[in-house]
Amino acid sequence: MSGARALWAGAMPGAAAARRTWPGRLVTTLSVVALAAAVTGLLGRLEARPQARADERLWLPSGLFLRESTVGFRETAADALWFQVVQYYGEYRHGRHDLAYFNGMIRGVTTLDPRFLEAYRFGALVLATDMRDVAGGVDLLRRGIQANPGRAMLPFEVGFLHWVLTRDYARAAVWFDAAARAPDADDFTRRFAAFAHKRAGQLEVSYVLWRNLRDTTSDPGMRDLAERMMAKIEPQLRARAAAGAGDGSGPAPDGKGRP
Amino acid sequence: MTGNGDHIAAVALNTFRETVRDRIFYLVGLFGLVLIGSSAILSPLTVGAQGKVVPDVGLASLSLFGLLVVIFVGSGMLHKEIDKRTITTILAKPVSRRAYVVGKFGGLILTLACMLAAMGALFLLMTLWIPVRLGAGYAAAFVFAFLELAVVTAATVLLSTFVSPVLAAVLTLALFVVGHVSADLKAFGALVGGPVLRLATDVLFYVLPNLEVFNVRGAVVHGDPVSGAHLALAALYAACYVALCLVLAGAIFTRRELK
Repeated sequence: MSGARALWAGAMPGAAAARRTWPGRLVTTLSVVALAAAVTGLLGRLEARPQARADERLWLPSGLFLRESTVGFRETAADALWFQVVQYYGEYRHGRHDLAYFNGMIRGVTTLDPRFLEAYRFGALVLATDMRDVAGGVDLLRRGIQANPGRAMLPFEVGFLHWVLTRDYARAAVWFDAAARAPDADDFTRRFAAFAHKRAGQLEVSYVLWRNLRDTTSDPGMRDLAERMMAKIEPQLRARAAAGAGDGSGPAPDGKGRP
Repeated sequence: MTGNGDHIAAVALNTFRETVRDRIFYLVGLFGLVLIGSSAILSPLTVGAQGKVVPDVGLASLSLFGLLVVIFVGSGMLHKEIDKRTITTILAKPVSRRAYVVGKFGGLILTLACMLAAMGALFLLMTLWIPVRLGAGYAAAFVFAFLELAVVTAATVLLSTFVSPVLAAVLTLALFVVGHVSADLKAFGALVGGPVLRLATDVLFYVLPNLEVFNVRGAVVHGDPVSGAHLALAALYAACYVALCLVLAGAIFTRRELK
C-alpha cells in the first residue's frame, strides 16, 4: 500500500471498505462531476457579469502604493498588471467598455517598473489614438524618457505621434533627432530623423544627419541610401544658397538641437 | 578539517539527504512548469515584452520557490528532530549544539544551492526559445538570489531555536516582507516621524536584513550591468549577517532545555 493510501485508510476507518464497493465509487464519481460542473458554471456566470471586472479596476491602488506593497517583486507585479492592461484593451476592442481605467492601469505598470519601455509605447499609442489624447500619450512618453534616458525608442515614439497624428513635422523631426542621438539608436532611427528633417524643410539638418548615417553605418545598403539622399538634397541646398535663403527655422545644422 | 568541521559536515549532509527524502526537489519540476507556462501560455499576452516578462517571471519564481523551501523546511527543521527525539542520539555523540545548528543551516543551504543550480539550468534551457539577451547579469542574479536565501535561512534557523515552527514560518515571511521595505520605512521615519518613530525605523533598518540589496532582478532583466563591487559588498553583508544569526542561534540553542 502506498504512503498516501495508508494515510487515507488510517485517517478514515472504514474508508478502504467503502472504496471497494461499486455504489460508493459511483456516488463519489457522480458527486465530483456534479460539483465540478457547478463550480465551472457558477464561475462562468460570475465572470459574465460586466460589473465584476469594472469594480475590480475601480479600486486599483495607486502605483506608489503598489510599489511598496509588492515587496521585492515590483517588476513581476508590473508584468501581472501588464497582462491586465492587455486584456482590458482586448475587451475594449470587443466593445465592452470605453477604456475609462486605462490611464490609471498603465500608470500603475510604469510606476511599478519605470523601465518597462513596451508599456510606455503601447500606453501612449492607445491614449493618442483610441482615446484621442495625444497630449496624454506624449506626457506618458516624457515620463518614460525621464526614467530611461539614453533609450531611442521613447523619443522616437514621441516623434512618431507628432508625425502621424498632429502632423507637426518640425516637432517630430526634433524628437526623431533626439532618438537618433541615443546610444542605442539603430540605422533606421537615424534614417528616419534625416527623412523627417527633410520633410520639415530643414534641409541642412537633414543633410548632416544623412552624412552622419553614411559615415557610421555598417550596412552597405544604408550607406548607399544615405549617399543617394545626400545627392538629392545637395542641389536643393545649392539653390537655397544661391537664393540667399537659409534653413533658419529648425535646430542647428550640427544636429544638436534638443526638444 | 577540525572535529567540529567534521561534525558540521556530517549534520549538513544528513540534513541534505533528509530534504531529498522529503521530495523538496519536486519544486524544481514545478519551477520548470512555471517557466514553460510563462513562456508558452503568457507569451501571447506580453505584446512585444516577451523578452522582459518571461525572464522576470522566471527569476521571481526562483526566489519564491527558494523562500517556500526556507519557510517550510527551515522553520520546522530543529523542532522535528526534537519532537522525534533523534536529536538526543546526535547530541549524545561529541557534537556540540552550535555545530549541530550550523550543520542544519549548512544542509539547507546545500539544498538551496542545488535547487538554484537546477532551476538555473532550466532557465538557460528556456532561453533557447525565448528572445532573452543573456549576459553575466543573469549569473549575478542567481548569486544574489542565493545570498538572499542564505540570509533568510540563517534568520529562520535563529527563529526556530526559540519559537514554534508555525510562528517561525510566519515570522520568516514577515521578515522577508519587512526586509524588502526596511529602507523605505527608514526614509519614511526620517521624513515624517518624531524621534521615537525615527528611532524605531532606524532600529528596524539595522536589525532586520535589508533584502533589497540582493534584488537585482529588475536591473538584470532590463540589461543593466551589476557591478562587481556591489556583488562583493552584498556577499560580505550576507556573510556577516548569516554569521551573526548562527552565533545567536548557537548561543540560544545551547541554553535550551531539550525534553
